[in-house]
Amino acid sequence: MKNMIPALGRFCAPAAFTRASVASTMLCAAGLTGALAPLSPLYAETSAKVVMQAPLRVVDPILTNAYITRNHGYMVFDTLFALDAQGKPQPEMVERWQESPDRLTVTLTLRPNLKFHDGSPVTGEDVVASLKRWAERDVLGLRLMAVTRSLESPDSNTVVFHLKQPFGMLIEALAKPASPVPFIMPKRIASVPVSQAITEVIGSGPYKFVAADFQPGVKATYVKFADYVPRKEPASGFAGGKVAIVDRIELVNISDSQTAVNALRGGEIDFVEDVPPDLMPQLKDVKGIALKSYGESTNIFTMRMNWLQAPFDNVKVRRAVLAAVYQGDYLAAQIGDETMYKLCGAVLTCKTPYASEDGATQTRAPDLAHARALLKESGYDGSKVVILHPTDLPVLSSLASVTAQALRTIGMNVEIQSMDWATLLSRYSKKDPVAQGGWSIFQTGFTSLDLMNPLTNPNLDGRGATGYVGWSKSEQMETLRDQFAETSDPARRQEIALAIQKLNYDQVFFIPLGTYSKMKGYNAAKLGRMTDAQVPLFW
Amino acid sequence: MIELILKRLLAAVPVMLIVATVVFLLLRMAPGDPARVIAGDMASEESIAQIRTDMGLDQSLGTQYVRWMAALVQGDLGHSIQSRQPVTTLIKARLGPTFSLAAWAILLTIATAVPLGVLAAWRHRGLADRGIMAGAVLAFSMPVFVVAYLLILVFSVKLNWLPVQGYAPLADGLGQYARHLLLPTVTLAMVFVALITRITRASLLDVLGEDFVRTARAKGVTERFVLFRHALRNAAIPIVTIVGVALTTLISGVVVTETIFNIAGVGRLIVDSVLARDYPVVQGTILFFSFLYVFVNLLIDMAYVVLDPRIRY
Repeated sequence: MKNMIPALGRFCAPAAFTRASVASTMLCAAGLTGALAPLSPLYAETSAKVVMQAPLRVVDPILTNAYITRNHGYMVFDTLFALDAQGKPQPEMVERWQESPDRLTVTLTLRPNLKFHDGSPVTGEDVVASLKRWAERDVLGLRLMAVTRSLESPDSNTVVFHLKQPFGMLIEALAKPASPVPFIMPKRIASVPVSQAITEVIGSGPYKFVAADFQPGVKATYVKFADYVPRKEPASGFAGGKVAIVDRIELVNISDSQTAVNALRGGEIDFVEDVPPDLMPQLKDVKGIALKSYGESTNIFTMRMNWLQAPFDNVKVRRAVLAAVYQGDYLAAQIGDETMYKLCGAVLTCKTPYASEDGATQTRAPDLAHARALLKESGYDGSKVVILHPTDLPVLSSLASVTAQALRTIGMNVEIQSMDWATLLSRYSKKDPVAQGGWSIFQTGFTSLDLMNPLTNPNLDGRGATGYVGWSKSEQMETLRDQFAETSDPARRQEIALAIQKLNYDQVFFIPLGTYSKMKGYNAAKLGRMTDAQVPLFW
Repeated sequence: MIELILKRLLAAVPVMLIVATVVFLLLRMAPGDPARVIAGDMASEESIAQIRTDMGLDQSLGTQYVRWMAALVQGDLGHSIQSRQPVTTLIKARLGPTFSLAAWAILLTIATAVPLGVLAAWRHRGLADRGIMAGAVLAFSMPVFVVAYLLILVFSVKLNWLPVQGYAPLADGLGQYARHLLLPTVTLAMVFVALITRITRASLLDVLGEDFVRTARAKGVTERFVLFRHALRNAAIPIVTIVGVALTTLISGVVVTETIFNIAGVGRLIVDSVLARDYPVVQGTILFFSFLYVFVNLLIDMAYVVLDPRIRY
């Protein structure tokens, strides 16, 4: 190899500026690039091209709660704790932790020899700065910091929480897999105000981010971090040993799903994060391509009504809507394939210890007579119901028309207003009446990671006008959520979760519209060893 | 000629200022909030307000405009709200694929459409004419995405001759570059081949009916000489006009082709930026397009002078 480069150099020596010299220069550039590649420190023996469900543009996983940025975060950053396949928090960067008998002091000791990608050691100060930044953006973090008297690092390997009162969810908060995830960054990066994006992407996770290769919205590259010391336990969910399965991962954006599926079939890419149900038959019999679910009921459609404005400021109207809708209609329209979806009325998702069907009626054929009676009893005056309909997200495109049909059937005056997602995000923050640009119904999709905890499930927010859009207000719900945060007793949590479930359906905070399993498609030989989790983890 | 170029370039300055102002205002009038798009749908109002303040989006429209224009006159298009990268860097990174695609598509268009148009006019009402016109109607009527998917199905999925998607820069080798560009170029060129074939045929038929052509034929000039030396040159003005329009339309309208073939070009950049309400990127890209329109129109005007010495500005 060493001899080849001078030879290329001589061949490529500049000559007179002619068309031929331009052509030969181009050929030389290509030749030199190829010849030098193996000498580059980024050279990788195995690589994979992966396509995620959205383009990566924002690289700060605390600034945004976009799923794509969270997935990027899992490649680059590590967490103190992580949920295993059974949903239980396990230590990840932490070697051991202990709680004082009065439950007011929690001490975490970091694993030795943890390093950031720039070679600096991971210290307690880095952890403190990272957690403080995260807590400014996260609902669970806010609650944690509200009960924290001080968070400090007495030595380089130790972090201590001094609490004002016991916080039963402390370890769960640090293991939280939903956006924003409490990722650990170097102190100098975590010191950037949370409203400003970080400009350096340095973590201590199993892959390094190659900043020079990053083209926002087009391509991002990650290479295996040679100094990463994985835990000895096998990988399980988000927890356990993170042993990189390829040396180099190139995240490319393909916005057209059909093109992504064609590229996977043709071997041009190795992974598609989200294969739409209608394209799955095209991959089923392709040799070397595997299709696998991220787990049962991983994704949930939801409906949220506007509690501030008529007609949904009236609980009886909300109950009438609950009685009129049927999950089967939504799932058939949006997903189609019966093997991929499931009716489920659990407000804290179906695959958690808190799953319950108590109060859910939308999992059965709707009782329209009852719905009409409830509507009449409510005194509904025919005021207009505006449903926000995002047109640029195919995964949500059918929900609005199903709801509109159901509500018209019981005699409601419904208007679907179509718009792109960015407009919808702006529109749904308006608290005004419908006539002044407000809205009545907003439907979206969540992963079970977002909804499985009553404290992170935004639909259960009871803070009213200062809370999550829809602005549901209930002191009872807030008390239940506070109680859930305080206790660490599983039986007590289950009891509170059931009360939350009942209260949700009594007051109709939100309506789960059914669950489905998201599917990934991948090159089985190359990525068959991927850990099963609800997000793509390349270890 | 130099005077023409200078005049046109000077005239472009107010045009671009108007474009910049209109785009700035339109974007601010359109619904949507970049801070909310970045923060996501579960972010608190406080977080969104904080992001808005940090981006300067809470300032008055006038202040934002003055600040943007002040940077613009210094050649600074600003930074992307989403990625924080300079807009010029983002546009530069996307120029290669878009220009390659547009350049090859226009070359293919001219190389195919002009001879076909000439042949159709020469064999007016003959079998060749009817065949070419039928083909042109078909090519003109098929939506770009249908053509693209059909080509991918046949040449990439079934025959496995060409890649499904992506763009390979010339540095990756001429073969890879050509293999990746072939299908998108054909897809993009098809509509323009149909259009310019029809325009060439119609222009040529007009000229072929002129007295000077009859005179030339009466003098015993060969039919080839009549067609290419006399008729085609006189029919060139409308053809060049359409080619110029086609070139600008190709560059600014490649988004469907870029999306289906997953080519990260300027068309995709502008659509993605609009959807994300990334104001500086949208403003910068539209300004770039408007400059391109001015520049291509200047080239067309210069071509008129070359093709028809009677034209004076």
